[in-house]
Amino acid sequence: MNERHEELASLFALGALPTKEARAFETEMARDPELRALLRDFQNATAALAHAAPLIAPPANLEAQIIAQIHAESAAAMPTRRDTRWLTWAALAALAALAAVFAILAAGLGHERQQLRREVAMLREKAAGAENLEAARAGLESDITELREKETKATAQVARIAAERTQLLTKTASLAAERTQLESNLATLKKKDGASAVAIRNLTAQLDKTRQTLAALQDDALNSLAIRTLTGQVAETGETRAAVAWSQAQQHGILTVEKLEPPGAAQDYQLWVIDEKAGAPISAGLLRVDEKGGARYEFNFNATVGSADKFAISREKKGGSTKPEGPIVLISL
Amino acid sequence: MSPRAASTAEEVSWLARIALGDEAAFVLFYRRFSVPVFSMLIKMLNNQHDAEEVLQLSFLQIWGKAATFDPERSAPFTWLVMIARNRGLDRLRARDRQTRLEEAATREPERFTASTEDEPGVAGDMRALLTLALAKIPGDQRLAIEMAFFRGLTHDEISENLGEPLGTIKARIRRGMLRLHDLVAHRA
Repeated sequence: MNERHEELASLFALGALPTKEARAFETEMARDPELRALLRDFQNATAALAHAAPLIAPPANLEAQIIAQIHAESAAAMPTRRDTRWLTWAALAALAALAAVFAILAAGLGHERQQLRREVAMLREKAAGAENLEAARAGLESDITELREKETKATAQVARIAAERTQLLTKTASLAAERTQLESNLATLKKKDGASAVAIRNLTAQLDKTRQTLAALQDDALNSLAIRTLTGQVAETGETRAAVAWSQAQQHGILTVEKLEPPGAAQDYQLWVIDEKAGAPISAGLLRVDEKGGARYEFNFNATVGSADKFAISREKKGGSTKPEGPIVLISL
Repeated sequence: MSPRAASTAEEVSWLARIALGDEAAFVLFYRRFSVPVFSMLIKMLNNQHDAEEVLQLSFLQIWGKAATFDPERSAPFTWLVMIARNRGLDRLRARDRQTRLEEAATREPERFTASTEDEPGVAGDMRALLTLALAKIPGDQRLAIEMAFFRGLTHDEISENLGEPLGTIKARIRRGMLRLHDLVAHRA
């Protein structure tokens, strides 16, 4: 029991609740045995208040009046038609003459009395039935209240489900749109994928071709690359080491020399390429030998050298010659 | 079994006999309770004639409805008080409502005071015990309860009459009733 129940039960026991609140309390009480027990306790406590009123005895004759009233009501419930004031002495003669008829009437009255008793019993049963109906009415009101509460809950639940359904429909529409977009993206990607595959195939083919070309070039380069060692032809180049790396394809060469004594002040070393088909050696330029007798010299030809069969170094006058005039100091085999 | 419980069992047996049409039991019942109930009606109605009529109607109802009494729901005295009080309130409502409110406003309600008269028997013992018990209830709570019980005023009317907030009146009545219940249960 909470404070609200105690408050309502207190006010109800005292009859201090307005009609509407009292009806609501009765409905609540009809389905709550603890509340009914609390009310009984409060009603018993309330009744004790009657003892606290200043004592005043009722009139002494009131008891007798009530008993008389009870008798009167009992008599009223069992009518005997004993009112004979209308009778006169003159009528008594006729009454005597009609004794037989009265006997019959008395029997009839007895029957009527029995009938009235049955009616009283029926009325009492009806009264009890009315009390039962009142109890049934209270029960039905309680049921109605309960059903209304259930209806309210069901209505709220339906509203909640409808709201959830709306949300689901919205979400479904959103998902459907998203799915359409994804399918479109997928189709685009598939197209791109197809194009990419074509591009990859093309690039792969190009790469293969490039590789083949490169391999061919490398083969050509390797095939056209030649190393020629030059050997000394005079006493001062006895210990000199010299070699030429020559690429026929690129018409490019690199001369490396060690332990070559520098030429005289009025002289230069000059490199020559000997193409036997050309008829005369072709000048590849002048060497610059450092103090230690070393030189690294790269040379190119704009005009194609048909075949670099040999390489030779001669000692020429300062500034070189158009054809070998000095002694050949180094030559390849 | 306490003397009070024993007396209640006796009173229940009277009602059972009354239901069978036993006038002697009815007289015993009347003599046990007519004084406190009449006193209550006098305090409620403030009119000797009305109180007599209501008392008479109440006991006639006891005679006619004794078979419907349920000892599981209330004590015999409680049942009688509820019947008499409801009839008393009907009589009060039959009077002009405004007049009743004016009476309540202008007349200082009587307090629960101990009687100087002696009342023999169980009822007298109960009365003496209750007088002591009721004296322990704070005055403002007793006043609110008294206005509801004896004047038949609703909580709104009590609030209006005393110039106190409705919530205050409700709280006073609740606390007073809990106190009264504890005291009565303890005394019984």
